[in-house]
Amino acid sequence: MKMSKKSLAAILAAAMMTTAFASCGSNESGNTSGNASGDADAPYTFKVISENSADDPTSDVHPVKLALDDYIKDHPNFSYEFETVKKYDIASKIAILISSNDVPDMFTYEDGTSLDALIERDAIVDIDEDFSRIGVELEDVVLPGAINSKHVLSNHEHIYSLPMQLTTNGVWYNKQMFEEKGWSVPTSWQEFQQLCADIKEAGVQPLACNGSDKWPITRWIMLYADRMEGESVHLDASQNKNNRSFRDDIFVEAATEAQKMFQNGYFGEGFNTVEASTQYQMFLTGQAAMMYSGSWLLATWTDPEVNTLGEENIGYFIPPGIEGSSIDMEHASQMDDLSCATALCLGKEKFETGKTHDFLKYLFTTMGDRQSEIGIMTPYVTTKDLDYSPTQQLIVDQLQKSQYPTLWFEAKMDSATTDIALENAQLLAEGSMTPQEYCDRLADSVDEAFPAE
Amino acid sequence: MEKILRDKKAILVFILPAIIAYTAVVFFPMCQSFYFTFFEGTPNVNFEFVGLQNYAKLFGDVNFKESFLTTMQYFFVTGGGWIVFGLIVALMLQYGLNHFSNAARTIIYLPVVIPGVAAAALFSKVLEVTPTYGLLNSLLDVMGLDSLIRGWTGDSATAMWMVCLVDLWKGIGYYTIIFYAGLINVPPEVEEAARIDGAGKLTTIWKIVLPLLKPVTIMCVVLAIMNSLKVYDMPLVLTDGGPGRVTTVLSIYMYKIAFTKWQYGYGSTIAIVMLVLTIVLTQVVMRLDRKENV
Amino acid sequence: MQRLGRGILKFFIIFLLVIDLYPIIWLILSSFKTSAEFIKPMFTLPESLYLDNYTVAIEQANLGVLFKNTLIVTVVSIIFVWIFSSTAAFAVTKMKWKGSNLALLYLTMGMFIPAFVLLLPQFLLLQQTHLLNSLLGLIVVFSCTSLSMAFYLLTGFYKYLPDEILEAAVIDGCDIYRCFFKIVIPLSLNGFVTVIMLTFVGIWNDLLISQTFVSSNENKMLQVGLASFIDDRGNREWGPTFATICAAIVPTLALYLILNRKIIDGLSAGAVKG
Repeated sequence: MKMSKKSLAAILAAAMMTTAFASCGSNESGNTSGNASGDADAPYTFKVISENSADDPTSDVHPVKLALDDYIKDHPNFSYEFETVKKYDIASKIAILISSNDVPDMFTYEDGTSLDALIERDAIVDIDEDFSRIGVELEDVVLPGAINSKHVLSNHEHIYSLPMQLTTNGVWYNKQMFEEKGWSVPTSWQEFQQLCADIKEAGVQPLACNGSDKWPITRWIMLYADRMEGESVHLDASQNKNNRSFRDDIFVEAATEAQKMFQNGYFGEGFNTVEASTQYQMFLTGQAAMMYSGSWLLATWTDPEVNTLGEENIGYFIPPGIEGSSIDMEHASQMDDLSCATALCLGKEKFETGKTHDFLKYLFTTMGDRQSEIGIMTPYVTTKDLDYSPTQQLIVDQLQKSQYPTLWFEAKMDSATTDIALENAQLLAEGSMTPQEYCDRLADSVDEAFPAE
Repeated sequence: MEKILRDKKAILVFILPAIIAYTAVVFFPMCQSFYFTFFEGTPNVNFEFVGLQNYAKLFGDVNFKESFLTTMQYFFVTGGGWIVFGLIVALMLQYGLNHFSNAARTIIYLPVVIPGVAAAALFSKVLEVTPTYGLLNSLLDVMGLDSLIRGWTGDSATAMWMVCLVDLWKGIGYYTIIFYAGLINVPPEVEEAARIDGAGKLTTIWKIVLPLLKPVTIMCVVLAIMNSLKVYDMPLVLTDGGPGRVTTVLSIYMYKIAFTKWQYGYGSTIAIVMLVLTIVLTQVVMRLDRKENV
Repeated sequence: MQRLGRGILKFFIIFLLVIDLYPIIWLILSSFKTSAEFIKPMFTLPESLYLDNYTVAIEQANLGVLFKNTLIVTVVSIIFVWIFSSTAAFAVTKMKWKGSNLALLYLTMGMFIPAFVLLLPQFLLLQQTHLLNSLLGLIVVFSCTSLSMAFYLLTGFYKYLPDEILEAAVIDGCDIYRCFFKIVIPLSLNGFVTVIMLTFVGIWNDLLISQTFVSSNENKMLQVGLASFIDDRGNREWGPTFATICAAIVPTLALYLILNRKIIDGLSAGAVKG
């Protein structure tokens, strides 16, 4: 293993020379695939990549798998393949598949700004433009509200992803425990803080929090800021719009409030390592009295084996308004956090072959019924009457009076700012970063992406 | 004899398979990676020549600097720990044990063969705090050291230390065995001569044995440099680079830049910088060796 | 004084052995616990040998397929690594030619290259040759990337094979190929065992490469399966998770325990003298 300086230089020089040849080689081989042709009955494998296993009933793609199972009964040449990829690996997986022209037929992805990278590379289907090619209009299978919210989220004129579920987020609480201990649902932010203090005093962890996913931490900054100055303040600040910036006092105040909740121990110990499944388990086993989470859980909660608490023992409320703020209580109670960061995308190249259109038509025309059958709040048109479970009814009631919906904290941030918001959130929560510093870093990053004019 | 050993055809038969395989799958891709550093975008889609821009970017990138420092922390704590403890343990095995030396060696090497993923998963349970105390916290609990109980891997003050310590645990055996092998090869006569001259055991080790171990030490340092700079599995599975960016070492940063931020060119640049760093550091160490030998 | 020193030394060694062994023993014991037992303090012993964890692990994590794939890839790659490195190391150390030093340098350089430097180009290479998502593709990558380390260790080994043995064989009328097969190979068995074991551990334990180049379920490798199983249900189902981790480390552990004497001897010979 002796290597002298001279020979090292020689190797590096050789490296550079071969590099030149490398470039010739790789340029030629770019677009040789893609002219696949064949008859309609040729064998086809429909590939899906998702962050949860398709066998898991809570998984977004579970209904897709059910549809495929039914579909291949009549189409023996059609087969499918599901692949589960860890959430934080999906982007890298898709990135690699794009450069090898092998994007799957369908995959789940982080919605919002993250999609831009896929759109730029022309990797996914423009839903507004091309969806109808499968033989059915978008409006005929997706509820208008769901299409609208996709448009709100999109940074483009068109939408490039399909909705997975109707989701809203709020505080789930252990009704039984509340009754036993004489706690009541808070009607103001101040009461909410007092409630947390009381629960902690009683030796129970007030809120379960999956801090390893990071977004559950930033959500508390958003909740407070929105309740002080309105549901769009964080979305505006994310793009330096309407004279909003994360430098505004309101965000420092909100970050301080969120930090205080974590420092007070309302989210227990070691929240930075807690994962979603642990969070649910802690709530369902009574280790924590409440948790902030989304309505996607409803599908699992109809199963008594999972829901050890029992449906009748689970309550739901939207974090209440702040006394003394410019937003009144009524307004705050209708500020639903409609965040569902998962998008369903269709790979463009595979779509263009036309071999999947027939299946896609079958899938989306039956999606509504299929989803509601397994207890998902579906954004798709249904043909049957819906029968809600008690917990689902809570959500339906809430959504019906919802007037001022909003989106998650990072929804409108560029990808660099999103990283900063999420990564630093863990440091903010554990107390090693000050609220001022947190907000300054966010604002600096936003300034770079959206320079103030 | 000479003629047979200079048989051109035989040489080709022996060396060519390795050269061809290595060139096609290792060397050529490395050059390609280097070539990518002058580009930005996605290969086959929108690859654009940007000159030295990616290298210039490194200097202004705060995250790169942070990751670099994190890698250096790992390099000094874990890499250094491997060498220091590896040597100490090897000496203990050689001079402290008469019996069970074989069994002890076997056990000390054991963690080396455990997959990184499994070790990380194992230790995430050992270090857990929520929802149930893991092995460490429950031991602390029993001993009444409640104040020490914490989320070891979720706390920015301790997370990187945990990554370092777990990899230290996993790696010591490897270096111990190499040092140990070096120790066996120290001729017994040398030690005996020292003893006859009246030198104590420690003096013998310090004055006679360690200098003889120098080539082995250099070898271990080179291996430690290579292994510690390319660390990937442990911080990924144990902490996923967090909390915040506290455990985002260069390799994880590079992977995220290239494969989740769509910046292949910049990602390749970071990779090449690491390669150069590895080569420079190992060269420095080997240089030191040579200079003193002359 | 001498005795006291020795006592302290022994204490340290025992302490060290405990630290090395205890987590592994704890892991194995915990894999036999029922989910109810995980609520008790972690250091308690399991109440009975609860084997259901393993049944769940085998079914849910698809251990059979994972094992089969990993075994095929590892074994075939090792064969290639062995062929490439044993012949090349022979040509470089024993045969006399002008470029031998350069070849030595060129091949050992691979040891310095971190795997992820090569990731993207190798991906493009496999894609062009239609080897993505196949066990063969993994074999190609593993065989070539593991080559440098094996080659380096073997050059260290061969160097200490006395030239006289070769000379004697030549005088007896052996040609170069027979010298290699009849003399060098049989005399280097310890070295081969070391190389095989290190390559085995490297491939069997790899996450990065197998995670990047294979995406289909039927060709998934063990560590990737393990990582996603842990990710999927690691926090909900500790028992099966521990069982899966155990299953994943058993083969390397077993191989190591069987071969450990030779490995340690081989490692020392190859590494130290080289």
